[in-house]
Amino acid sequence: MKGKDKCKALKEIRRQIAEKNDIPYVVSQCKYQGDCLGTCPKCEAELRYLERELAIRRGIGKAAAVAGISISVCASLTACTSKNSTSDPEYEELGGAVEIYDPADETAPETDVEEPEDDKSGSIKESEQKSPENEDPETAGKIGDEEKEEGIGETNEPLDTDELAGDVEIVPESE
Amino acid sequence: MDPNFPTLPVFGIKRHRMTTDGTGVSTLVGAYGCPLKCRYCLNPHAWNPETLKKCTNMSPEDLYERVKIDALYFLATGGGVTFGGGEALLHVDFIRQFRKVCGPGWTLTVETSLNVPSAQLEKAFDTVNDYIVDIKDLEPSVYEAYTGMPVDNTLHNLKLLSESVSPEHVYIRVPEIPGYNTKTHIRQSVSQLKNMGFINIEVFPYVIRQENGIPKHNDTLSSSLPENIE
Repeated sequence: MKGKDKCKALKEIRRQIAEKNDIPYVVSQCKYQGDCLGTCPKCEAELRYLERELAIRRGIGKAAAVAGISISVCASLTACTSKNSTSDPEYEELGGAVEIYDPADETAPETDVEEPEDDKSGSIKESEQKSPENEDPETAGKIGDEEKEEGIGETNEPLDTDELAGDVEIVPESE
Repeated sequence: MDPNFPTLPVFGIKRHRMTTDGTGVSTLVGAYGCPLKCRYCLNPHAWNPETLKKCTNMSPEDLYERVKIDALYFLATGGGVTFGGGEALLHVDFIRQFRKVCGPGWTLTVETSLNVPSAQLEKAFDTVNDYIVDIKDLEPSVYEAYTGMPVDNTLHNLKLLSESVSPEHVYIRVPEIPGYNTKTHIRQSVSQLKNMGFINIEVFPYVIRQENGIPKHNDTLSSSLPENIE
C-alpha cells in the first residue's frame, strides 16, 4: 500500500473512531498533490486530537469505543491498488521499506504540528490530559503522552504544512 | 537503561503497515541478526556486520516510547508491533520484556524462519500473538542450498508450533524461489504443512532484484549457487 492509499485508510480509521465516540471530525479533500509517507504533521495532529477527545470523554465517565475497526474495510474504501497476495510486491517492500535507522531521525520535525482548534479554544486542560484517572485502563500510558513526543519518526522530512493544511477541518467541540 | 534487561539492535522502524504484517495497523521493527544467509535475502543488512554499527540499541521502554505514537491505531484495528529483521525469535527475551511494558492490548507478531533453537520458540508462546513464517522450502537439499543451513530445526519447530499455537494465528509463506525450488517441491511443502494442521498457507513468488538482467544474490554464498543461477 502506497503513501496516499495509506493516508486515506488511516483517515478512514480516524473518522470511524470519531464517529463511534461522537467526536466532531469533518473530513475534506487533501490538497497535497505529491505522494506522501501515509502521514504528515496534519494527520498526526488529528490523531492527537482524537486521543485528547477520548481522554476527555473518559474523564467524564463515558466509555471510549475504540476497538473493532476493520482495516480491510478501511483499505477497500480507499480504492487502493493493492494486489492479491500471490503477486503483491509489498513483500519486496518488507525489505526495502524498513529504512536504515538513523539517529538523525530523532530530531524534531522542522515544522510544528498545527494545533487543532480545540486547543486554541482552551477546552482541554493540561490536568485533564495528564490525570491518571482519566485514562482508560486498556490504553493507560499508551496514548496521550504527546507532551513527551520526540519527533514523528518518518514524518520528520520537511513537509510543507501549508500545502497539507486544509486536509481535514477539525471542528471545535465548543461549536 | 537497565543492564539486566535485554536490548534490541534496531536498524529500522516502519510505521503504518497495513495488509502486510498481520492484523490491523502495525509498526514493523527491524532488528539485527539472522542465522540464515538466504540467497535472495531482502534484508541482507540484517546480517551484515556493518549494519550493527548503525543500529540503535533500544531497551523495551525505549521502543515503547518510540512506537506508542500509534497506540490508538493499534487498539482500533487490532494491530500492534511486528518484530522482523533478521530473525525476530533471536530476540525473544526482549519481546517478552516489551510485552510487560506495552501491556496486553497490542498484537505482537514475529516474522520468523523458525530456524532457531526450540527453547527460543517456546519462550514466545505466552507472549507473541501471531507468527508469520517464511518457510523457504521443506525439501532438505533445497533448503540448505538456499539458506546455507539445514532444515532440521525448522521442521522440529513447525511441529512444536502446530502443537502449541492455534493455526489461526500462524501465517506460513511458501515462496517460489527461482532456480531453487520447483512446483513439485512447493506442492510437497504445502502438503506437509497441511498435514501438520496449518491452515493459513500462502504460496507466492519471490520478487528477485535484478542487476543487468541477472538475479541479484548475496555474494557470500556464491559457491553454493546452483549452476543455472551463476
